[in-house]
Amino acid sequence: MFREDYQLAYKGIKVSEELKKKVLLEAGEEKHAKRREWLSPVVMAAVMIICLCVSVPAAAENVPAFYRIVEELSPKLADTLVPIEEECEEKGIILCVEAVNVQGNQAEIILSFRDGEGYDKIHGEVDLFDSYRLTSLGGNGNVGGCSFLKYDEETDKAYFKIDLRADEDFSREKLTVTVGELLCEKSKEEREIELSEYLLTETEYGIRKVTVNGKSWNDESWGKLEEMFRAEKTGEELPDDPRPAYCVMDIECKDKIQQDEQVITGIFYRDGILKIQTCNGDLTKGDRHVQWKFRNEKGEELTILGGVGWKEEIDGKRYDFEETWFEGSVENLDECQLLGTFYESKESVRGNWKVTFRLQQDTGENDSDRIR
Amino acid sequence: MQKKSLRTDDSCREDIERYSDMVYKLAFSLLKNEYDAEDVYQDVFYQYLHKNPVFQGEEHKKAWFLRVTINRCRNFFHTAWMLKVMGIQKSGEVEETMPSPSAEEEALKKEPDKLIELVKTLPQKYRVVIHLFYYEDLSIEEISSILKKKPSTVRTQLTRARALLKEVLKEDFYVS
Repeated sequence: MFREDYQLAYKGIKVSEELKKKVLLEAGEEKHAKRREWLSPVVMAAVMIICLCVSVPAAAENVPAFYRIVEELSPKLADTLVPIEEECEEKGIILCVEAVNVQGNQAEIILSFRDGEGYDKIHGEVDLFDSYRLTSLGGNGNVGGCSFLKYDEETDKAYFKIDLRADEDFSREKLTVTVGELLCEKSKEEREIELSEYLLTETEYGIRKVTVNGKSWNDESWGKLEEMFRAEKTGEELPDDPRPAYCVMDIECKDKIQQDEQVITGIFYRDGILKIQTCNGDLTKGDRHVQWKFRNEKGEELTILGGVGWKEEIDGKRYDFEETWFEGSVENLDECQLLGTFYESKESVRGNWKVTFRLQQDTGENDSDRIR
Repeated sequence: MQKKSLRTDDSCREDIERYSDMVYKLAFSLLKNEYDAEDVYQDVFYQYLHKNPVFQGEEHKKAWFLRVTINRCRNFFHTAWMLKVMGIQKSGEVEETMPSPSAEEEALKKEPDKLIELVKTLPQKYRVVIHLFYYEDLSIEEISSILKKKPSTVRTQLTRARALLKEVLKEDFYVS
């Protein structure tokens, strides 16, 4: 019979034991592989959970629209994602929310800086050096600013006030205040400058181009000052720098300037324009700036058009310069008066102070302020 | 709801032990050489281990192994290498045609290996039904289910295969 013969023929056809062992071995390994496959989704889920844990609070903190949705859905969840933190200590300095007063669409917040235990940095006026940031969560179109209020010797606290105004009444949105730098040991000194010591003669006067770090203008003088700064052989770009070049007084001051001191390097007047140039030392190690008042022989105060600031490296050391321009008529420089208010903050403390609190509408049942 | 296989490591080993020869023999009958049969054998069990199929019973499991083996062999024929080899073979008018009388005579011997060699000369579609019918003892219905062909088609193929075999084997083997 064919069937028997065929089966007999194929009886001898067998897979080799070696190959079978290989497959059996693979089956054994497959058991572990299955475990890995089973573990893989667990690991993936863990990674996803970690990502969510990191990204959701970050999104809530940085994307106001997202925060508003969370706040609408669950205020508790909103508080979990962006918790209320009314005090923050860093680098031995404590930032604290002292009081919040909300009236309609306006809010006043009092913040304070004080020394942490074992530190002694706050003992006078403090400057935030424009390093603060106000972030409103849940609100619409807030505008505001932060300014130094006072230093209280008794409590050894430096107070700041934040004024906020919103398009609509505040309900219960949150405000986050972050501060990146504090200038401590701030001092202020007013003194009259002896003009003759710094006046440049026509022969001494020269100009050179610098690339500025910053500039400030009087609102009305914007166009005029820009035109004047650039009229003197400027208007062209420095070849290796896209920032505009401006002309400032070219003064040999190498021997006069110091890194930790403010020095007037030169003053020059011509055709109704007065220029005062100062070297403020190295501003990375502290802040130094000056506010000028110039009165002519008639006692009339000259208008400050604005100024520019730039930095230079001299003998391997950094120096920050600024030049201020005035506009006005001067007949006799010897009879004019230059007054300067010199501000100096000897210590700069960098950090990341951050407080978050609610701007809750006052119900009228209690005091108008939430005093802490 | 998706069904999950409850197989254990031991059941895997049992299945490999039980169906190894079946898979290998079928692959060998279709591919006609041990090397290719070994490749298909490994592929089939790789698929079994990785796809973790769910079986409704032992019959279902056996059918699954047979079907996957046949599919793997068919895929094997479609590989570039096999197409090239077959092209050469076709130029010699060996593959997929009836053997020449001299080959018949050469193969016409009663020894089992000679029988295998003779069956190898049949076209692949006939070798499948011959192997499943005569070696695996499957019914026409079972073969039709595995090959996903009508039972009448399988019956026709089997009849033609027998006729060819009778022609090849002449009176030395009785095909029924």
